[in-house]
Amino acid sequence: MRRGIGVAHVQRKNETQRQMTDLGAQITAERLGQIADQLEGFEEALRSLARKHRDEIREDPIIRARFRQMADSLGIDLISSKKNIFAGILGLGDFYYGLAGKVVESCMKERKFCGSYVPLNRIVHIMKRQYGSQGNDGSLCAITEADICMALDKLHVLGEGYNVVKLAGVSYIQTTPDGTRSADDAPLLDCLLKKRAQQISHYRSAQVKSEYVSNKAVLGGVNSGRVGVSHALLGPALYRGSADVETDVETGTTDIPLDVQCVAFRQSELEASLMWRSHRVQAVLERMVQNGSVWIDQPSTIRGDDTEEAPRKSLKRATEMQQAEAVYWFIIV
Amino acid sequence: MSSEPDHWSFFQLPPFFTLQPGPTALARQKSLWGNLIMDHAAHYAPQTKPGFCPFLRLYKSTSDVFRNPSVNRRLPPGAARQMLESLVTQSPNHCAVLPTGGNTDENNDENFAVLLACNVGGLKEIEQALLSWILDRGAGTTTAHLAQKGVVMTFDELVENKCLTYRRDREPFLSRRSTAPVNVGDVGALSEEQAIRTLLDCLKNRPLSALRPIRITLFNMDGSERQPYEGVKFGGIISS
Repeated sequence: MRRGIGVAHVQRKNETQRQMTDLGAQITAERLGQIADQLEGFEEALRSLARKHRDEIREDPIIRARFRQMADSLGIDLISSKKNIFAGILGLGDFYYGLAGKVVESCMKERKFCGSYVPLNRIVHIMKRQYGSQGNDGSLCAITEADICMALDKLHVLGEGYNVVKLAGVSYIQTTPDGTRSADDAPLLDCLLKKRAQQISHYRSAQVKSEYVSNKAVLGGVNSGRVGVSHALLGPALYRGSADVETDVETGTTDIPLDVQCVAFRQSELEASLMWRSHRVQAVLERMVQNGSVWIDQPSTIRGDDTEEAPRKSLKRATEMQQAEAVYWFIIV
Repeated sequence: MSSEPDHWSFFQLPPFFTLQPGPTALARQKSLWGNLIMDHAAHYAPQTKPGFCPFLRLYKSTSDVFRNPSVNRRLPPGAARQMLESLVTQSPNHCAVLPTGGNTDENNDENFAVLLACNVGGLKEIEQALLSWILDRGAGTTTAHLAQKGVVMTFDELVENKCLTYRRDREPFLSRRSTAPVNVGDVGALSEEQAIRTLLDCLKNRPLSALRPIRITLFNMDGSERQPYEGVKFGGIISS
């Protein structure tokens, strides 16, 4: 008699299959139960952690940085969603999403450099002021650059815009989309900001020098018996001067005159420093002229004051030579 | 970078004296020049010397307000004309275009001028004062009556009786728009008679004028067209 003949075989196979399915479901249910138990335990642990350290997380940037490092090493996105367990229980979601909203508001209010760039440390300063005033029991909630970068990273899911770029060693938030057409802006702005920093530092050095000279003039009248006092008074001035010069150029530019803050270039100068072809420089300048970041200085021929012929001719020739190439002024503010 | 630079800061920038090709920069340039001119007028109005009209000033496209010797720049007349036209658009109650005499097309940019009223009430208040003064002089009881009948006056009458300040001796001047120092001299001031003549010239063409129903005619006794004219007729039907 051969095995498997008849209805009994089919029934036996079905029975075996049903048993296997039941067993699989049972195993899966057990695993789900285990995972649910683990998750409850984890949530409980996080709640306990939150009860103890929620305020610290909100107020201490170092703890937030440690959290970010741990999350990165584990491959966890801390603030993928407010329903995320970390975002929800620890308050990180509310924190970073609120921070992102405030950063965007500040960028919109702030005056933009060349149409779209806002200094990052400027935004950090504004955020510190805003969050500081919200601290409970007078404690300050410190905001760092890394926090703002984290918040801005999340804005990318909304589309292009709000990148952080580095120009002349200083970080800026770029508030407009960075298309391929504007890829040339960054090196040009880099060159521009370096020249601007030089101008501002030079202006500050000149100011410090004039203060030093005036101090010396004032103290010149002191008799020789007070030379020690003079020396003591001059010391702090020198120290303060050097400190001012070394200060980051981007901070405290409100007392700098506008003509020192703005930078002027001729097209040939840009071609030389960037090593670009002229049509490439022209394209960038044309776009910036159109969006209002660049103003053109082209002095008109001065109507001849009725003076001698020769000086007028030389003046006209100089003017014509000057007219041959316009000067492009980058209006910073 | 956090504070907005005012128009006097831009006055130190060379490109401020070049007509900008970009539309955004041009709009900003026009706005800044408008603010600068209003600020200049507001600054010098309280310091007006005796014999000059304190609340009316004339800004030509060749005025020195468009020149900054410290950066060796002057805004060309063509560009200055655009700034002045924009100023009239920005402040229609304080600025009116002075019509150019004659039909000469060349040098039209250099002949362009704008009359600026730097009292708070603007040209409307000045016109109202003038109208009240004319009516109170017995020229009529209503505007319609004056328009129908008309009245003839000489400029000496207008000047001596201070027709432009009638019942508005204490009207304040415009306040300044900036606290920065003004590095331009006192340009654009008019004598009392010049102010009246210029105002009447502007009112003849100004569409917003409160004196609109009343025709203003400048004339000479001998019927000639020689300027400056000797008298003015308010209202009345033109006899042709």
